Amino acid sequence: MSGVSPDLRSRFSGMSSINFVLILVVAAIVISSINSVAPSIGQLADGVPSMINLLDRMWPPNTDANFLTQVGMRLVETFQIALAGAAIGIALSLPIGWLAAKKVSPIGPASWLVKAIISLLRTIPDLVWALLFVVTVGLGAVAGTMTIVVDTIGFCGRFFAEAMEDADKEPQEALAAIGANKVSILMGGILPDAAPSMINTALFALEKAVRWSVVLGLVGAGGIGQELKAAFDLFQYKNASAIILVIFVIVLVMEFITDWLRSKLQ
Amino acid sequence: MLHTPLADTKSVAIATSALKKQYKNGNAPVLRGVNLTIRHGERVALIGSNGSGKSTLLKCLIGLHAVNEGSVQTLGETFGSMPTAAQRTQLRKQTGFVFQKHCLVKRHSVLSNVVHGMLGLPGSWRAFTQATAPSSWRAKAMSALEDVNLAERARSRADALSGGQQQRVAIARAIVRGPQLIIADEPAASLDPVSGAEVMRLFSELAQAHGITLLFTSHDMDHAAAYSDRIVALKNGQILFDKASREVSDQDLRDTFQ
Repeated sequence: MSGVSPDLRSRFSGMSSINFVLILVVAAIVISSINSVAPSIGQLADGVPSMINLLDRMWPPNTDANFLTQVGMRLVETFQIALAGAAIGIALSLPIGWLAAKKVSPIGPASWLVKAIISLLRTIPDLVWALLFVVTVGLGAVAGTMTIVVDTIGFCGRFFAEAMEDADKEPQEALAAIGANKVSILMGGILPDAAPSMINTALFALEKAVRWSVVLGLVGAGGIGQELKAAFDLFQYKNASAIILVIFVIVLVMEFITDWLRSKLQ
Repeated sequence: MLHTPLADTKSVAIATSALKKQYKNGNAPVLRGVNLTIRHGERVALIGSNGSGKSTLLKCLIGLHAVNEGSVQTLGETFGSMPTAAQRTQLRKQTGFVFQKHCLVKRHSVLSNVVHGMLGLPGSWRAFTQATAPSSWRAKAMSALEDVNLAERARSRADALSGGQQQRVAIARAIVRGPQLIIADEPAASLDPVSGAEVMRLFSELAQAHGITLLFTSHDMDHAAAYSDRIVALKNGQILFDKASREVSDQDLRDTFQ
């Protein structure tokens, strides 16, 4: 052992005391959080009978024709919120993503400001946006659509910008040398290269929009979520189970459609 | 600032006077007093080892890089450091570019890539794809593709073509707007010997047929000799010799590259 040189020993030095203290602090925070808010085994065991009781009251789902028609109407509204919100959001994300894309943006170094705004849109949770829009434009589908627009810009704006930044630079330089302006370089050089990634992002945004449009109704922003909330508030659990099943089918069908579209467009 | 023409604009396509260029990174000057004159319709090969200043000179001639001293006259536009916006527009209208790598938009069709050659012209915002371009421009693009023997591949995606074919598309893109001058930076460097020779032959023939002034750089001395009227050698940012192609000797080439 005495043959190990001091140089070699220093290269394999142990953990520093600062790192050790940091690990202890993080571990303490995690354990105290689990103690404060995670369910205990006892609580889980106590909850099982309540859960069985709830499931019993939910079964069978309500299949009354009038009720299903009402759910169908709400379903159409949910789809409208998702489609309109995603379409407007995707369309707005194109110029916004361009403005935010480093070295591609027509506003040069100021692109970071647009990126910061996109980050702000993304970091505020959707339900908070929904509450804000319900307060500003009132209860209903319009608030839901606006929420989806903002959420889609936060998502697509970032990924569109990244796709544009990653687009092949050589054709862009060639078009610039020919005399193409920034818009022509975008349309002719950047978008064709970034299109597959952007289409993928747009399809994910659509999928996300359908999922979110389902729950936005919980805070009064329209769609089938509003029916679900009413069913729980009024203890109509058979109605609630029917709505949950419908939501499950919608989300599944939407994922299937977007997966299929993605495979076709690759 | 107005610059006095360096040479008779009717007969001279390019003229430079004591051109100096140094990049901001503090390295030695890339161009050190280059005086070059190229007449309309000439085919000139620019040779020299890596770092001799060939590509920089090409970029200075068309105002892509600013020069530090001296002046440039290209197609009747005379400028010092950089051309004005109006001069740049004029230059780009009359100049075609071909790069070492073809720089095509891979996911676009061959025809769309050729139509891109119209970008920069008035009303060219529609030329980002052949589908939206005016039909007269599509017809010109098809004619340019016929010139490079690729009309039958007009609808193919650019990345479905071989390297040589892609470079021919780049040539079609360069000639589509009927330029007076084509500047090509090592157009055959990324191609195999057969494709490279074919591209150079096509270049040379098109330039002669359309009366286009051709200025190209090359590391291939066979290409330089076979497809140019004159060879200009650059060494350490200065012109080492400027001779008719047939007069260039082996000793000249050794002096250039040693």
